[in-house]
Amino acid sequence: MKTVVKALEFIVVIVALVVGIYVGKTIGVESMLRKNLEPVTLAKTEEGLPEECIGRPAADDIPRIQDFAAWEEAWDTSYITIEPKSIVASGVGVRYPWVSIYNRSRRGGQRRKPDVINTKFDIFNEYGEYYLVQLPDDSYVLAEISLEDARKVKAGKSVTLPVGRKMNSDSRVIPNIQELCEKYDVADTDKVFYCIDEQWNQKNNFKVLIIRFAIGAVVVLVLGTILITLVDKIFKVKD
Amino acid sequence: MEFTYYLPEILFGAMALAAAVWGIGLAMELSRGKKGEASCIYCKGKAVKEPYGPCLFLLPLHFGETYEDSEEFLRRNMQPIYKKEQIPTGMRACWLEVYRCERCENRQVKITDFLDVRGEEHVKKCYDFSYESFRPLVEQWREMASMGAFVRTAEQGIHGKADSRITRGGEF
Repeated sequence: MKTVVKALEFIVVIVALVVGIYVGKTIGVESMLRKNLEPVTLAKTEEGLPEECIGRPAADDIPRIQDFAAWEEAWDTSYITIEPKSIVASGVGVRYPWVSIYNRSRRGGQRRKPDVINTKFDIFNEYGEYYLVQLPDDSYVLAEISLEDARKVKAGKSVTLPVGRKMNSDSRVIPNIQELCEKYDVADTDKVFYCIDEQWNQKNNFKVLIIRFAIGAVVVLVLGTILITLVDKIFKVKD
Repeated sequence: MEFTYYLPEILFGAMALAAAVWGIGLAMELSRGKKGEASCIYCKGKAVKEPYGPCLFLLPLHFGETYEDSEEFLRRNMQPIYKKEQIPTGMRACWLEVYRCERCENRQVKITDFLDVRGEEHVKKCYDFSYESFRPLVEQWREMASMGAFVRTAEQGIHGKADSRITRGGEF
């Protein structure tokens, strides 16, 4: 009986950890902090630097990519946006430019972080996942968008993605998602719609990480305590 | 759709709410503890000390020894004593105080397990249990008190605050 209770307590702690990581990783911290950002208009894209426009909310006059033809016609220098019908996660991500390449090892040396990773193992949100976004004409294009925007589209919300640009796709990612691209008939795997706000992320990366960690810790502690108390109550464990 | 999207926020909100409720409960308990009161284990109402005790009991434990099922262990092993000098060196003892809830009238006991080191009480753990489990022990202690073996006043605290008639050394 005692062993069963101990095993159950161990399981509920693992459950609390998993839920804590899930909540800490997916909760919309960025959208809360970025609430007051002004939408970028076409006029502003003409005078502003790319890093001041990419990843910012799109105003109504930013061109929407409606079909694959429009995607192909768009220039790499054009500021565009997409109103996706649906989204498919590839599960493969590439390291964000603002994330340090090296990890400090315990022995004092430095270990290089992988450039491409399976995003299931990306606990600290250091990698931008590649998605297949469905255009209004049902064709798919590659996109590197924030986790928050992807979550909104996945949940079926009507979303206008932030201002972005066509960029060259990462050659290390494509071989990993080739099968998925073939399955969804992605005609253009050379280009990716990139709409990550690097400037804002670089500035607020640490703050976001701390908030996420705090949220995750609260969930783990409270849920763990509740579940352990429940197990003890069910099995009438007395201290 | 909305539910799945807001699931992390809902989960965090629920956990934060639970933490807030627990925090408020803890703050209330601490504030009551400062006033010499306690929270009722049945209805969470205000419980006030009964006008006798605290009762002192010896525990058959040394230093850092632990025990499981504390209620059962304490109920079976507490031996009434009347002064701290009766505690053999290195042995543990406990204070027992009886509280009555002002709302539901139920009684409960608060037991403070401590180790006496040169007159200083090192508290190991505190417990709140129903009065009924410890009634025989409390009655036994009170009987001894009424026989004149020892007397303690109601308003005296625990943790080294002795009755005015008991010297620091524990003698009458």
